[in-house]
Amino acid sequence: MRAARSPLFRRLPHQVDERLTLIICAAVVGVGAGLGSVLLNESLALGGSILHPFRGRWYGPLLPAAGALTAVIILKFLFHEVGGHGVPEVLYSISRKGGLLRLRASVSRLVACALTIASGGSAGPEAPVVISGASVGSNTANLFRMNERQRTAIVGCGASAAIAAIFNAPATGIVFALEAIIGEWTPINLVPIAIASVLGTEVSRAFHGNQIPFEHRVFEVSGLDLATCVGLVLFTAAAAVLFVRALRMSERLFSRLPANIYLRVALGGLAVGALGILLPEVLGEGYEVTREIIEGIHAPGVLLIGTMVLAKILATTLTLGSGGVGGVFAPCLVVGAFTGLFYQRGLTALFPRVGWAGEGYFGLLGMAGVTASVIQAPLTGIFLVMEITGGYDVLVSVVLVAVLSATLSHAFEPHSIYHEKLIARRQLLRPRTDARILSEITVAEVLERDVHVIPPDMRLGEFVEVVRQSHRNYFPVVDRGNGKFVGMVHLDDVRSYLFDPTLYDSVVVEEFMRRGVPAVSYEDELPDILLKFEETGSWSLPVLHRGVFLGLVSKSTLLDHYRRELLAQESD
Amino acid sequence: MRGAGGDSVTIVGLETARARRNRGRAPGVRQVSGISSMEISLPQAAHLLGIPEQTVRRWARQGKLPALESEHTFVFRRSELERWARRHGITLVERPARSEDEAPAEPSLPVALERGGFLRDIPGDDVPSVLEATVARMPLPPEADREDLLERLLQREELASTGVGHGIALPHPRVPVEWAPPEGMVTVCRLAGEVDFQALDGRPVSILFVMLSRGAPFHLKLLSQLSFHLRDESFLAFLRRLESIEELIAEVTRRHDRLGGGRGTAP
Repeated sequence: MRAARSPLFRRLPHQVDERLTLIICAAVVGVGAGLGSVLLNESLALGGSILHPFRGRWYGPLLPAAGALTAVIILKFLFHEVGGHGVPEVLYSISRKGGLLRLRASVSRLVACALTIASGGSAGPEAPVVISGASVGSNTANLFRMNERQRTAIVGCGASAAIAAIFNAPATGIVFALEAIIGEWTPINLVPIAIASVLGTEVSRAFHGNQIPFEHRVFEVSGLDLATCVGLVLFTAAAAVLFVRALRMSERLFSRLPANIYLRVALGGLAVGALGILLPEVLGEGYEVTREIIEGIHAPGVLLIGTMVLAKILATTLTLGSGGVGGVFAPCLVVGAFTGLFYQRGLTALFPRVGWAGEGYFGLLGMAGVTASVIQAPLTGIFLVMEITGGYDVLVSVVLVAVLSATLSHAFEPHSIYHEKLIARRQLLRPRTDARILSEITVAEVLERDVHVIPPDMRLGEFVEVVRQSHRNYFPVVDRGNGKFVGMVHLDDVRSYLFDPTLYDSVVVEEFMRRGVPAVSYEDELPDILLKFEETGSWSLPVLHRGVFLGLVSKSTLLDHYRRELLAQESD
Repeated sequence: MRGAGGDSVTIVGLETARARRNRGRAPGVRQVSGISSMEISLPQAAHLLGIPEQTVRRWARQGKLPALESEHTFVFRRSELERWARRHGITLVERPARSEDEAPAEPSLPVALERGGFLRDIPGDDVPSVLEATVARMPLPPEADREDLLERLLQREELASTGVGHGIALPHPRVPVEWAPPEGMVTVCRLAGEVDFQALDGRPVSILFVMLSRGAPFHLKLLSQLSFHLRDESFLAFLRRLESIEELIAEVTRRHDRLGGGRGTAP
């Protein structure tokens, strides 16, 4: 009956066994997710070089539309999925499905994203690799027969390895997985995630070499620079808020269009293509222009740069809002770099005598500020910028801008772009939160079946006998014929008649029961049930399934279960 | 992956190790060795933790509870569950549901009388001395704390007299004693003299029914059965010439049967 599935592990002590399995699984996932990132990087490079000669032709502006359209069609017909940046899907899976993700998600987004970005769509490659890595993690965890807690950790491993591989940034991968995906920092999560991140990075380095994406010069950072970078926070926070709101508005506008999804994507792509005629820098992931800024060789003047901030935001919101496939990380970096440069140019214009730390310095800070603000994950922003630029000499300023900018934008846009949709649907359930605990408990677990059910035609005398034998105050009334719930008798309502034998034969239950009692359904989730308790002020509610009475839920039992769930959630 | 615990140590006793080896050799064969007694089923685990089976199943699936995956269900190691519960501050239900230790739902006066016994010629001329002499002679279980019992009995008398009239008093502790026998006990005592219990009817008391039980509901049911008999004048007369507990048990059973009083509650 109890088959030994892995005789080797059987002999190891339990926890060593668990940790070792997690680590082995994390290593497998790290390599898998890393390969996914490499694959996407290669296809982006390939696609870019194939399409580059056509950019200049008359039909160049049509390319983004064609790419995005093909991506959506492939996604729809080959993989039966829809567009969007997709990180919320991973978070939803972790919140509600114990980290289950479909296997096909490990390739579908990669293909779609490669087409979207290579053709010129303004988006980043990181969200698709996160989904891909997470899906590799989820399915590998299933192979290892893991439970939900372990599978969630391995999904985090996939995300971590993917980010680490795509940016050649191992620490960012770890921090991103913990801060943005898993949402809690525990040693049991940290070890496998770190291992996956390291292996993901190594896989990427094996193919691409250990390149730092944006090499920079060493900056001489004075106290004055540090002080002025506080002013930059205003701009990065503003750019981030604008970005988040524009993306939301664009999604709303596109969803209002009566046309079907293909037309929408095509329209978005056309608009991006048109924008690309004027400002070709906004097309694609935008790493080239970012590199120029950091190296301090981006020439245009302050006004054009200011326009670029807005244009890049517009291009990204058009691409993603219309249903294109891609992430927000890379666009955030580009917007941030432009914002920083804009600020620096402004400073130079105002105080031409001061020797500022350089365009690259403010570009870096802008990248950290905008990224930290848009995804509301300051640590991810800090580590990302540190690792992709190697700019550890500006660490202090980067930290300062990232945390201040995240805080400031939090006042306007409190939720991460990844979280807001889930929060709106009340589906973002972070570990150890009230909502999480409640959502885990099902009605079946708190259902009380030891209740006396009475028929509506029962006489008061008979009811008194039921009361004598019961230890409850609520008596659900159920129709004898069809078994439907018709009302409820609360002992308090009839207490005064119970001791009046003259009424025993003349009054029937129907005449003193409460009708129209608020009820909950068997499928309801606990947060909704608690809301109903609050609205009605009652202590016990009947649970119905298609009108048939199943049992009661009561506040006191809920407290009991809630507390135990809370105790059980504490990890070891 | 079969393991699911977050425990730092696993009991690797001799038996466990042997059972593991055996299983490694012959997978799929159910072992009828010592380990079977340590492994418990899902319903048993649910009972031990005092939670619904659905919750246990979910916790095992989510990896909150250390469990072994068996075909289509989970099995648990008792020792692991105990450690897990301790770590998470969850109290285990120690006794299995049907233990001889468990109190019967309906108390039986004859059983309680048999357990309590009959004491005669209790000395003393006031309530404390009478109760002290009674407690000293009562057939209590070995773990009983007689001083504590006396104190609780006196507390109850201070609160209100337990003299119910007709020369009868029903002393019982103010707070139920946890070491009381599960079936309850009623010790009948005939005093050497008569003592003023400040009973409602003012008559001095010569017969005591000292009642011990584990909980208030049980006590009330027992009390209700006893007072049913005490209302009868002929029963009171019978008590005054009582010689042995067997006599009393027979009389109580006879009256019970005659009156058809299955329940102790007033007719």
